[in-house]
Amino acid sequence: MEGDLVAVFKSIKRLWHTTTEGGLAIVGRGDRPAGSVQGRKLPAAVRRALIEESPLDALKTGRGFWWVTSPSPGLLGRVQLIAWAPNDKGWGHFLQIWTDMLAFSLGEKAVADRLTEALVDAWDRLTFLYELTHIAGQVTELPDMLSSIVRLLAQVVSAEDVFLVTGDDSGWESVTASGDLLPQPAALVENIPRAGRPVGLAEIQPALAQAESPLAQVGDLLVAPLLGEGNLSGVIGLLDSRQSCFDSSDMQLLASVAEQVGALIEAVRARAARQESQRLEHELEIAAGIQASLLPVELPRIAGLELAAYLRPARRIGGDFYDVAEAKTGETMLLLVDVAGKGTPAAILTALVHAIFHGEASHSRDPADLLQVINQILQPDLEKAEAFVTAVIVRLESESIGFSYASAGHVDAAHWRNRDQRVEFLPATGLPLGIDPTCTYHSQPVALNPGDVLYLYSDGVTEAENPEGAFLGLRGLSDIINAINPAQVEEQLRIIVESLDVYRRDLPLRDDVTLLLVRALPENEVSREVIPFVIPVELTAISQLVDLVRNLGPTLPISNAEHRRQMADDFALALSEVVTNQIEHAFQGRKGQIYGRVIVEREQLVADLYDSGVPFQPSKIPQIPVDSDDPPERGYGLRLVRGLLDIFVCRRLEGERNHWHLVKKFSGVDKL
Amino acid sequence: MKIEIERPKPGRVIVRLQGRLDADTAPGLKEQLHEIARTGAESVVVDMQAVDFIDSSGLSALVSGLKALRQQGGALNLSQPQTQALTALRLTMLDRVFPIFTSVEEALSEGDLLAP
Repeated sequence: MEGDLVAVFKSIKRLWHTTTEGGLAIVGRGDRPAGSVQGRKLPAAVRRALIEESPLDALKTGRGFWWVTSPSPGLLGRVQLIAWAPNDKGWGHFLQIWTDMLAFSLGEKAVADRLTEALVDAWDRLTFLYELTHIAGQVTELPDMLSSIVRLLAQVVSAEDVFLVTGDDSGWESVTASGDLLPQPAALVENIPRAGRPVGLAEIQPALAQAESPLAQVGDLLVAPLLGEGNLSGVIGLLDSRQSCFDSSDMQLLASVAEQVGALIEAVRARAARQESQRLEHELEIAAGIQASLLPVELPRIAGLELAAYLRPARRIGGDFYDVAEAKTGETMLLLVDVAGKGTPAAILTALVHAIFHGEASHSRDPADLLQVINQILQPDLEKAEAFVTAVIVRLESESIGFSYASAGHVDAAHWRNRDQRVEFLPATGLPLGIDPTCTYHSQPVALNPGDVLYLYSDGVTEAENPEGAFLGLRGLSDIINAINPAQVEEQLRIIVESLDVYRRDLPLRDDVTLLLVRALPENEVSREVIPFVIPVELTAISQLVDLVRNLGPTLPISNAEHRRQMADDFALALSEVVTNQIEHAFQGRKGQIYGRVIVEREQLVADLYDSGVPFQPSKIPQIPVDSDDPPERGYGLRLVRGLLDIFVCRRLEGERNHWHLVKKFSGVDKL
Repeated sequence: MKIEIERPKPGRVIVRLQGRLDADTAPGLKEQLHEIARTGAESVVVDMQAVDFIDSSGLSALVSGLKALRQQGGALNLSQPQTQALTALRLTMLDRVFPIFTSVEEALSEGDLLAP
């Protein structure tokens, strides 16, 4: 029944808050005359109570206030409410109705529980205190709060002293209404039954005597556990030198009070924990800043090559890291590291690797030697941390076009071979660092021809996970690389990162993502622009592609502005038809992503699209003339594609992939 | 895509479109045209002036609306389609299916002539 009353009160409070954005509390019960039934001025008595018991400045200043007594009495009399709101739009009327409801509920509760007036009074007052502190969200220090609670309780009960014990397993402290010290507070906490009900002296005396507590000798004792979220946060109790002076009504009173105070302590502690976590968050931010400062400020500029890098930690600080240093003989050394684990320990290890790499790179010119040295130096630290590190080091040759790499258990690097138009993976050439101090590594030379791209990355890329639980894998990465070439390296990087987001859909990032790309510039780079893209398999995503192509309009090498616009519109329409077809037919309701690129050449617009859907052969679909009396409702897409494009083919690639190739020549318009 | 419906007089409906009529927005238009057909309109004018992009799904929605209206003895006219839409209508030969007018007023008065 008590639950009912609390529920009624809470729902009224909620309703009041949503209606007025104000707050509400029970201040009393009974037929005492209220200072003012309705009005904007807070009665002096309440004002005094607020100043004494709560630091709520807001309540003392000029907002709307009501102190309302229920019009009709419940079985135990009328209920008095105090309410406040930022303004008065005639809310007082509602209050009258709600106090009536409360008065009624209070009567019911009293009948059921046989509560005494004193209990109801105390309950009301504590509710008041609790609600005020709760609503205000500006709970003062816990010790001040606890002293005022014991003082308040001492006014209501006839006991010589009231005590409260709080703390945790590392120590328990007491506060009493009299100011006397409570002997051995821990003995009480340790021996209280945790069922949530108060116990009398008879029940707890044997345990206290066993613990040699002086409290075993008192006249009478009532004590109740303070529970918040099921944890024991202390006890509250009454003490008297007279024997058997507490009765069942005191016990009921204490039960109610203990429930309120338990919740209050929980709220205050939760707030303290929140502040602590904010402090930790701040420290993490600083650590993240330091870690970010270890990354190279800029990547080296090397003739004939373009470089780009990306790092995104899954948490504030990560275990991934990339770096650049100059070898003894002047070549550029690249490093990409993945420390197992995340957070602060991983961050410390990345800083260590950074220091060793920079210290040692200038003495060495071979990636394998460098890994070996790092492995030996790191060994003791990694052993202590029970961690291991995977790393790949690449030396970019300055004379010939090529590189050599050594990999300590790192995920396979990828190499786009432009001449063969395919991806080759470069496996590890030794164990991860920290496994075996005597491990030897070897370096592997690789040719980097014009248009080739080297992709160094961490396993956060290939282990990107979709909601179905499948990893992107080397296969998925190949699909992306295949579609984004021959775009420039910054564009490639952007689309790889975007592809990972599209692949994960709504799942959060679980692992750090790091990428370092090196591309050998092709000779004919200037004559065309390549724009790679990725979209999820959703009809709503097609408009992105339409925008992409239409925005190219003004840049097309066609002299007439109107023709440029029409050319872009036509190509956007053709592309959107092909993608609609891919989504509706090739994927048949499955989720996934479509990779592709648009290429602006001197004489034409080209697009290539890749998907992993079912095969489609547009040439097998007949074109039926449209009957103007009974036109078909569907089937206009292919008609448009054929009418708009000069070349449109779909071929099946190995690995059950479709490749769509679209070309629109700049014919019938004046080219620049 | 914004769809505004205006009824200048009984039996006449103007459907003003604004934005992109594509696979994402076409189902909404199709539903609206069918709803208009159900309530029995003699002549419907789809104002295409502010449609900056239409694809095959958009065309399908228009054809579907046309057929629904014809079944009820009504008609569907297009007003002021822009270059992109005209290209799409021409390539699909739907320019021979839909009466196309250079203004909403003209398309409406055409409806008056056809009305019994």
